[in-house]
Amino acid sequence: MASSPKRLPPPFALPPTRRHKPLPLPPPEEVKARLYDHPEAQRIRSGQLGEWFTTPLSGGEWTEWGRHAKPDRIGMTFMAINRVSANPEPTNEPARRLMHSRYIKTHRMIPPELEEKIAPKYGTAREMDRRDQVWIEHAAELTEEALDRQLRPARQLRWEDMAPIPPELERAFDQFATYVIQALYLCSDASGPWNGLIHYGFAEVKSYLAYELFDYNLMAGLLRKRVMANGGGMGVQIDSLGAGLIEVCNESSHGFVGEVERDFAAVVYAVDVLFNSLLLAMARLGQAGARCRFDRQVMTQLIQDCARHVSFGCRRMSFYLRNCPDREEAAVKLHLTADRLEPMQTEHHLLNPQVLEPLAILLGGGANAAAQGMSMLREFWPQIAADYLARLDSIGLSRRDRCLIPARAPF
Amino acid sequence: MATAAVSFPSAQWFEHLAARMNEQRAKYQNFGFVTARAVFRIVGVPGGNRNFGLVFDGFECLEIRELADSEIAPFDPDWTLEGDYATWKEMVRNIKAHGEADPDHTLNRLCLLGHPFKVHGADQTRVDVFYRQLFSFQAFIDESAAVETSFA
Repeated sequence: MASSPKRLPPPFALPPTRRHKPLPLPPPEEVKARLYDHPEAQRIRSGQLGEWFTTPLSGGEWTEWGRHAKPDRIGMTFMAINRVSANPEPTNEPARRLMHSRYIKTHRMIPPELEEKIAPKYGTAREMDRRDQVWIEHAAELTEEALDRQLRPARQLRWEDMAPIPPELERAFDQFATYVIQALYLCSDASGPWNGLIHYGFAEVKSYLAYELFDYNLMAGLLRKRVMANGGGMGVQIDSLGAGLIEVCNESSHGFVGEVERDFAAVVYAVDVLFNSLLLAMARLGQAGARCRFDRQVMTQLIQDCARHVSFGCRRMSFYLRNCPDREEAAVKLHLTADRLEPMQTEHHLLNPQVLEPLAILLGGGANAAAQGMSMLREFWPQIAADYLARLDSIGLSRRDRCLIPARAPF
Repeated sequence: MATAAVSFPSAQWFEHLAARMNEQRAKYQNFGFVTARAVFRIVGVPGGNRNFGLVFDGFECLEIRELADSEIAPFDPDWTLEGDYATWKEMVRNIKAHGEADPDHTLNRLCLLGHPFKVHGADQTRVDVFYRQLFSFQAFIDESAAVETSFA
């Protein structure tokens, strides 16, 4: 009989995995009896309607009763309801409760000190409840645009437009699509968890960020379908595509643990201003290289999405820098974030052969003409830094003297 | 009966595109609403450069006017699409021939390298409106497929 393998001590101390002893629960009969005698249960049995119905419609907890928002040129938009709202924009007053916002009043019986105790600040939508942390100019318009211009594959795309293309172009497109999918998931994962920390008073921004997450995931799903539908397949993963980005996001969030200030501005800068600027440039190249109508439509959608994300990032940074408590410190922090990201993203993203070579083949029209395509990439390159820097000028964070994305192609 | 050809470049030519856009609300609703002040600039036209300021709002083009060079800045465009007359002509003919721009004549492709077309403006975050709403602007220019065009 073979002896049982010797148990070796683990090389590092493992945390205990034994579950805590559960607290003893009261007997079910006692729980049921308590619920039966609950004052609310008694009131429901009496047939009385609650305070939400009996409280006065003006002067009580209700807000803005009797408004009649009318659709504007686009439809029933945030702009249309804000036109009749007494609170079209969130104020600078910090939120004390989760639902207490520019739209919803706190119950008159709840004093401010109790409000604080009812809704914990950390780990909830009260974490980011200041305008300088969250808000953007013309939030309603950009949010409606995000909704209105969201990819609607069933309505906008005709799969019958997808035409077979030469195998090497298909391979190049599929590799490019694989890169884009990876980039989109990266953005989605980096910015997704932040939405839950934004207060409901900033309804437009919360909705906008949800739509942006949808953009990433709709496009990633569509590209995967496209790759699998035209005789090709998924290409190779891009190593280190998230260079610097993941670190910046992790540091900014502190892993979403603890009662600490988290730096949403750094995340927006990294994901929306910088990374989406690079993606926008790549999307424009991808659209120009797309040989069939279907692919061109998909890439045009990607251009629109990325440009909108960049706009959100620029507006957020602009508002933040104009309204944060210490503009100088905020600018220094953003510069440091950019100093880290720009060279890493240039090295691992912009100079990645798995990104550039498929584009060169698509732009050149075949593997034999890849050199011609590469020459186009070289000619295009200066726009990457130029457009990015022009956006930063516009938001009041000039980096013309310190940008680390080369002004000319280093190849 | 054949429709009389409309001369390019002219305000009338852009008005034809606008009329087609405005009568196809459902098509443009599918793309999403547009909010842009745009200038289309055609350089090297016999007789001098021509500029046309267009105002897009919702799902329509609401205003078209020819602008002198000195009127462009006061018009306050989000973006200016500028190109030489020969390329404009080639693009319009290409759209007519194919019903829409072929891969080598889309607005994005023609602007890609900053020539033969260029999109520019005083504020890059406003220039980005061109990319944010590209489907609509491409569809607008593609409306020229249905316009009998004559060239100067």
